[in-house]
Amino acid sequence: MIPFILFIPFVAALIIAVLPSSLGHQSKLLALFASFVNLIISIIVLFTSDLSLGQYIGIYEVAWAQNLFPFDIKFSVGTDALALALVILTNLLTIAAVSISFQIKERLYFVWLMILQGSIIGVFVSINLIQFFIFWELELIPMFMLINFWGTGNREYSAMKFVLYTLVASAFILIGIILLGYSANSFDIISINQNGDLLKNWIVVCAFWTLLIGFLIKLPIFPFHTWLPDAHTDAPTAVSVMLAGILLKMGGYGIIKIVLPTMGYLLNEHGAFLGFLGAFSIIYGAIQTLKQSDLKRVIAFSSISHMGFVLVGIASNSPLGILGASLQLITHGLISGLLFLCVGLVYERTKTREITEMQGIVKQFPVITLIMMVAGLASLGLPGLVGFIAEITIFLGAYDSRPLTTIFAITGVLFSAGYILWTMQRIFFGPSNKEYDSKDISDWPQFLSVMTLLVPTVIFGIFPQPLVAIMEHGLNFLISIG
Amino acid sequence: MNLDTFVILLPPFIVLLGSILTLLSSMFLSGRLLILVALLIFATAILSSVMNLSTQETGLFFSDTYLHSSFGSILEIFFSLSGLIVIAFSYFAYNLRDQKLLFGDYAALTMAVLGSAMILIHSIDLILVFVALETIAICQYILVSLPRTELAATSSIKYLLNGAIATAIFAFGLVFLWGATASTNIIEISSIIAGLEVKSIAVILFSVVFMTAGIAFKMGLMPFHSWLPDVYYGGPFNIIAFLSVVSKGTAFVFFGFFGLLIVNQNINDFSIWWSILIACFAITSMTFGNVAALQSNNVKKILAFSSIAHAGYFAIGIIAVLLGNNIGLSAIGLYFVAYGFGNLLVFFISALNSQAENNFELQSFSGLFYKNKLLGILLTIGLLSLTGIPPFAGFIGKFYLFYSVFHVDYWWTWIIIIFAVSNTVISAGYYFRWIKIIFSNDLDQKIISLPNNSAKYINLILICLAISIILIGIFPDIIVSHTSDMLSELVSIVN
Repeated sequence: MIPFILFIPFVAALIIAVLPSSLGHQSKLLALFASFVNLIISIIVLFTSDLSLGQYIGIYEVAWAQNLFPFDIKFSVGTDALALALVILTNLLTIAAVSISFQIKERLYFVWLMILQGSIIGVFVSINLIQFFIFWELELIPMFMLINFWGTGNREYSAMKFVLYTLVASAFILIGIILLGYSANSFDIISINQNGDLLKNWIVVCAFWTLLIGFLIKLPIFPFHTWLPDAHTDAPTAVSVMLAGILLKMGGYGIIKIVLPTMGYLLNEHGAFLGFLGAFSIIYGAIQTLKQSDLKRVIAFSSISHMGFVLVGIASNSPLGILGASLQLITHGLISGLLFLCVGLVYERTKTREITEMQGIVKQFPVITLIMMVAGLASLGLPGLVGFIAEITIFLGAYDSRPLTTIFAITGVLFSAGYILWTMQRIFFGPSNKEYDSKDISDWPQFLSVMTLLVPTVIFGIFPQPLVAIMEHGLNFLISIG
Repeated sequence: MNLDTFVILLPPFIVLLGSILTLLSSMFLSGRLLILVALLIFATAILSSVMNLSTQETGLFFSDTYLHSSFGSILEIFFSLSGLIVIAFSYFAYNLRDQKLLFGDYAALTMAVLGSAMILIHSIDLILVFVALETIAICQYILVSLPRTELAATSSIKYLLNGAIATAIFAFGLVFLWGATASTNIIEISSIIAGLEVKSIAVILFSVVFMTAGIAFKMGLMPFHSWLPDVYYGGPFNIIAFLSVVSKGTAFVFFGFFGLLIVNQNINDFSIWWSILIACFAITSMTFGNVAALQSNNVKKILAFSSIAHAGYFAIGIIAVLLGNNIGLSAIGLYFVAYGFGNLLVFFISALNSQAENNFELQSFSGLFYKNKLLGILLTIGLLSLTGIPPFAGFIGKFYLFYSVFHVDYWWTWIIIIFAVSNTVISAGYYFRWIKIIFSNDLDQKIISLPNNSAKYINLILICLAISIILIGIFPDIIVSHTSDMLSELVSIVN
């Protein structure tokens, strides 16, 4: 099943690219259909397979390159609970992204979107570091094209900035992968994880830092974050949704899946520093949001702030903290995706993203306001919505080992409550100063795109047990390694 | 020695004789027949290479001057193929009378270069090496001057003068090597060096430094690169495509081969110092090439500087070989193919574009995708491959090079990797700028039309190149499974 999940987006991209021009306008429907099929397949995999052991399941291997390195390299895909959850999240977000961009005519847009989806899924289902890296880099091409040609404002600058920052991250990761492969004599994630004890020398220390920096750029954490606000501001709505929702999660996934099992002891050694970096990122991102006047930049900096929680959780050196970090990957994916959808909807109607130019639009757009309020409250960690589960788990996990850092990080929640409520208040409430021509959400694609993210946000907020259980399964592999 | 032995010489001989044949027949044959003759010559050459590969014994021949190995045969096939591609493309794409390119001369000189290159990669005697290198160089001086414009003549003279100095330096080093070891046979020299004491290595290192300088000139490595941008600027695209792929690649494969034989996995002070020297060249040329390319707006200059940068990447493989890791040569082979196909693709499409737009500025590519979808997509594939973005061949080639050079005991290999990887990021700056221009939506769209009657041939050539880039990128084993076996075979012949 897993190869299907991986290749359906690429096949869909190919079909859309070669559709005869009389059927060209069907490309969006085809893209939507492909994502739905992919979502259903991945959910079937979730329900039919036993994920509780924390091992890779559904492994599918093909001989790939026997002679390239002193050891075999196989093209191998498989999934475990964490990867599968992220794959499902990718599919949900793609559905949202495709249906929010129904007004776009060019089919090339949907081709790139499908390639983007395929390469992200490729990152999550790869069991081979080279393959992981190939998909990691492949994601760059569609992102560049989408931002450069369908973006707004200073899009060319932002696209180039995105490419260069991502390539810098990839450069670090490439060095890390070479070092890790050299010292473990394998590029296979499973076998690298299994001989974790062999890997204690200074090459591994270098591999640790290069990989970590690469992933932290992607996450992004404080000194490496400057690409994100620009990319978000100028990207089209769908791309912002994908970027905040799932691309950032690749960094967290990389740390949990590659750095943590093999080089966890180094993560512990430097845990205090990394935890502080994460906490600083939380506060820094939160303070930055207060200064922004562009709505998208507000959400972008809040993403930086929330990704800081992931690092705090991972650096806490406790199972609970890591569980919280992986929960945060999913919940922030849903919430930030939803927030960017709402920003896109507001922008489409008001034609501005400047907070100061909007006021009291709740009277005209009550449904959008409601959805964005839900997303915002989830983002600030209101109990009953999905964001709360992840953050409380992280704090509970991190407090034991690093109480000061945790307290420092918790103040970030106060900030986020402040900026979210303040932003909402300024945009939606107060006397309305303008009449807009357009209506509230009325057509089904926009409704669908909002619902795909809103429903899980609410459901898992009230009833988080299934999500927590999946994530616990996903982290079982850490226990077996010890 | 019997007549059978001469069969191993068939591929270079066919190409060299074909060169003379083409030159003579160009006096009375029309272009259409001439391209058939060229096709026939290369087909026979490939056939005989394949035959040698499967039937002939490998080993040393002709008083130990000629090493016949399957590695060499595979390279012969690649040379024939690339020669065929370049000649066929020039025939179909160029309006030869307008370009003042005499097709017969062009084809004949190209074949002469290829024939000598085939001899070069087999030769293990320094005299033979020198002769082959010089034949290649002289033919190339003439090739650059073929368009008979002032610009081309200037480039050619510049190339000739610089090249003559490089040759002199190379010969100087060669003489010293001969004086120190009393032998011109590379394998003998290698065994003598392995037996030397540390003190007496200085003179050999001295001579090898000179030889390195001579070869580095041909490869376009940094301190010896100054001829390259000017020659590229002056020559027509089809000729510089040939120069940048075949002549550069030959020099690298030969040098890797030379290093492999001389060092022969005996790491001592000599090979370490040598590798540090090349590491300096590699780092400076990568950095210089990429930074310079970032600042130019002329396609030919960008390609020239990027080829200097790529020379730096190639040199990484040589460092790996000098440090005793023989897969370095295999990595050079893979990168040669990846870079060769990518570069040919980019050069060819630039040639087509510059014919249509009549200038070499980067801006002339604006909206290429909307003018001609196929060319736009293929050029993007070529550029992405040169940047080293997966799944294209350039990525796996670079990855393999970086992996091969990494060595725990030698700290400068780390620095090389760091520089090489950062340079990949810098190079993305100009390659992506180019891609952006290709896809930028230009309002005055005019269609770039290929020459009418040969459009399908040109498209066929370009599509084949792009497909092979993708295929090699996804299945590098196609190349590497052969080269790695051949390397072990090669080592066993030598020892």
